[in-house]
Amino acid sequence: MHTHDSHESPSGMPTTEPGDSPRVTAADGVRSRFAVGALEYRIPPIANKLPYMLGGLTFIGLTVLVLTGILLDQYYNPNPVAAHDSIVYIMTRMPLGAWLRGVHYWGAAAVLVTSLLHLIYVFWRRSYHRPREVTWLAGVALNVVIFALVFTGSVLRADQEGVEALAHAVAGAGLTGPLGAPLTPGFTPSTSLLARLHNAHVSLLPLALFGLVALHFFLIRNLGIHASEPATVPFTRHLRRLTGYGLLLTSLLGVLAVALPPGIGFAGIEGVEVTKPFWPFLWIYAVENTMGLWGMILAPLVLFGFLFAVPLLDRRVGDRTPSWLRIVGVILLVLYVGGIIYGALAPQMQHIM
Amino acid sequence: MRRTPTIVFFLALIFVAPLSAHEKGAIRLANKSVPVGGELVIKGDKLPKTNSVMLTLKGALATHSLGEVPTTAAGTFDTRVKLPVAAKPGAYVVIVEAGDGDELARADVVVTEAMAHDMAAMGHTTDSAAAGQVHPTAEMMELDATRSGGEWGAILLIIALCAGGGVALLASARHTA
Repeated sequence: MHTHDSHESPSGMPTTEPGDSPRVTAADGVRSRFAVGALEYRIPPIANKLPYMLGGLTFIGLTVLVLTGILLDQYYNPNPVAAHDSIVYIMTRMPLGAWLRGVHYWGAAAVLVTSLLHLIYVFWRRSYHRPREVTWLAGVALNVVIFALVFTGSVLRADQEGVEALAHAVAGAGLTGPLGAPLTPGFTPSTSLLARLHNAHVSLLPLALFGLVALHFFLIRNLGIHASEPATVPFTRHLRRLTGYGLLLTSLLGVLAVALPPGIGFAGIEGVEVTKPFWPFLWIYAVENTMGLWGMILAPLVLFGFLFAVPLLDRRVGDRTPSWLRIVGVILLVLYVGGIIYGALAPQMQHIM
Repeated sequence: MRRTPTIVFFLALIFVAPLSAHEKGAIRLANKSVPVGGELVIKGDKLPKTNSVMLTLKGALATHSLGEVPTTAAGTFDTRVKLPVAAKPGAYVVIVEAGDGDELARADVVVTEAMAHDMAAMGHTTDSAAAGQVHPTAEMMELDATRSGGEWGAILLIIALCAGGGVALLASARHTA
């Protein structure tokens, strides 16, 4: 709770003693009108270390994705016959198009990495424990939405890799019966599946994302972070450091977009399998290579099912995580990373043709 | 007092600009989709009378001329145009332009894949039809993404501002800590 010293009014504006002339700066005006004082609640000093900023960096990465995505979407055409051409137009004729697309691509990679590191750190420190179970669940749900955004974004390219990714998803949806109906081309005859996935990418999933982020932030603010230190430093100091790291991250994304621009494949042709999936999904591809198409359903179910179940699996009182839970977590992480590496190195295989 | 000339200027723009523009026309296409190299029937209306207009097929990556068409005394035309084979499958806009380049009307059309026997009927050999087909590949396209000096300047400025701002904030945070 912010306390006001004797020289400030409740609004945060400086008060005056009799005989003084008021000195109100522009900063004071902004501070009072945007209730900046409400951000000066105390947090533990350890929150200013980089591992405690991984979640905030993920949020900054998401913000970069929204901004670049809005610009790119002005030139994107979700009509299946025009989608690929519109991406080529973005890369060759839109002002700053190729660079913005690069920032968007590397921003997605950065969000995947920072969200994974954040999840690992929270899991390892047992920060999902009572009373923060819902904070953890919201975070896992955020990871699911992020993966869905990466999937829909890769499909929107409408190149060979995108067309095959969509075919995989439709085949997987067919295995789940009525549950997979929305992911079939004939679900809404009035529009194409690509247009519906575009709608999901720019509207439905971002709404879910920011709703979950709001819940996540609300719970962190009111339940506090998992730390043994007392809360002694203002949150604004954390925001300043986080913004600094966020700007450095953004500049790194800009450099990567110039040095390693993402390409695009040729316009996709349906009915063939000649590519491997986008790298974040290679772990699923690895499971498909061994189990067939059902691997595409079971691999995410096992991984995210375990993550959602963590607060239920660990209800032990005390500070120590059960050893078996940590071992299972480490095994899944090794399989996840190993699956990506294996998928990248293994020869291309057909799963649905 | 200074505001009055500005207001008058912008009000004048609102009324004068439409007076100098061409009247908006309309076109109707017999088909919303046409195969590569196929024929497109176009009817125009409310166009400049007893004049000639240019027809253009405009896509995201290429523009093709469909020729010049005369209009009647009523400002109409009815014509058939053969789409150039170079117009690849995709979404296009048929645009009608006046002699001075002003756009008069537009309509969307989709150019679809042509079957091999249709290509032969249009006078193209099967070999060339097969050569025109794209084979599925995992390779990336090689695109010309040359940047102008202005784009390079904007990119470097954004990167520099972000990096500089980040360093400054971290330095000030360390100072206050």
